[in-house]
Amino acid sequence: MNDAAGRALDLVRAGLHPGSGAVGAASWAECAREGLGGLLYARAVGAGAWRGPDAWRVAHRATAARNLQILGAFAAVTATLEAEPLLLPGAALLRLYPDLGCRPMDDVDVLAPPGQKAAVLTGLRRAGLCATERQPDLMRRADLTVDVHGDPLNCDRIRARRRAGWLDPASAWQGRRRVDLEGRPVWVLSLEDEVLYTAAHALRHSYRRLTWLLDLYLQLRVPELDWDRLRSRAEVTGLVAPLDYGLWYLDGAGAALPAAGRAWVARTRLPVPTARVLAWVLGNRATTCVGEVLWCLTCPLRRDRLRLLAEFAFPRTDVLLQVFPGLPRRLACLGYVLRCGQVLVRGAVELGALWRRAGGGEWVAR
Amino acid sequence: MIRADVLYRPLVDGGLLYDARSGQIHHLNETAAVIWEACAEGTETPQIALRLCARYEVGPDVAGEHVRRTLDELTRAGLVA
Repeated sequence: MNDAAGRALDLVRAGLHPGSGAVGAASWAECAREGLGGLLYARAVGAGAWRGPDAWRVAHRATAARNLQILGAFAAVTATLEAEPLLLPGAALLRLYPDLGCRPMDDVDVLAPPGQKAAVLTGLRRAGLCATERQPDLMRRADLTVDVHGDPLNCDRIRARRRAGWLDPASAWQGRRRVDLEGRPVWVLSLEDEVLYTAAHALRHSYRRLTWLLDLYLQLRVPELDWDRLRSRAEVTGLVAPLDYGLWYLDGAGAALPAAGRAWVARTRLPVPTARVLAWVLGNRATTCVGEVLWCLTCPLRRDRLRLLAEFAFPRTDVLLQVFPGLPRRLACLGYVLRCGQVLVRGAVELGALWRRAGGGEWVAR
Repeated sequence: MIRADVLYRPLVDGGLLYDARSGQIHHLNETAAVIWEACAEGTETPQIALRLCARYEVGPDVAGEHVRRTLDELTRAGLVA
């Protein structure tokens, strides 16, 4: 097994089963860096067995305070909006954790009601948030950052993404639910859509944050989750593969999945090359973008895979300019030349690393 | 007694208070969180002290003093009237 992937699995295991010994194997500095310190602290306190480093207690308190401040500011802002947006996983999943100090977050991702993204952005501007010209959907204020989506998985920015799996905004909105989040009612996606969003989002970002796997685990353990509906929704939206991958990681970390989850894992046979790449991705999650490429490859048709890879590498101009924020708009054409160089260099580095350390070994054999 | 615009959220080892007026956050330790929750339920001070006695095996005098000091601090912070 590649060491880095094994280490990452240790950290996930520590988050899943505090007291399993995995915490000892993983240094607290790594746990803190991964944003797991607060969760491990809360779990240990809950079990009456807190003997860990004081830094975890401090991290827990700091995370709780920051999250409460963000949620408070967000609630105050949304109260002024005419079109109330829906909270996407991230902030919406705080409700699944023991308390507010267990899951750090930077910004709040929201889905605007269908056709009302502009109204939400205008409302946020009136509330004192502002965006840059290059990233008009990312609204910031000193105490709050809100990322406004018109499409849950940003398939409106890279349209060919829809072929790899698409949570259609209208149907996602239609399935929304009202839940209590830290004492306030908010709209969130249906349980099934939340699971699929989390799995696809984590894959797209190459599992850069291990908390996304813990998010997935907690969502899959919600007793009200209907696994038959999850399966059919995954098939309709084309998001079976990201969920398969997420479950594969959780199984590798020894997650106590519900019976339906265990059955899902038992039915799924990932091709060995895919499993090897997944193991490699987890070990290189800080730097790789192979997760997005892997998602591209889940398109059922070869021409769609090529189309998505092409659009991912060379997106439309306004998206490309976000990749090169220093490049003047009038020199946008130059952006494509720079992108060519970036793709070649990045591709060579990633392929070289894959070639050298295509780990997976015993883990793949599970 | 408790300000309506102060949001309380329990934590595994205490609680947090968010003062919507000032945007400030206050941490409560475990016993302070018990006292805040009791206040929120409208419990009178002597009964709050009895609750602490039952929960932490301390005498009524110690518990009463602790409740009084905590309420003083919360009052000074403007969180209770």
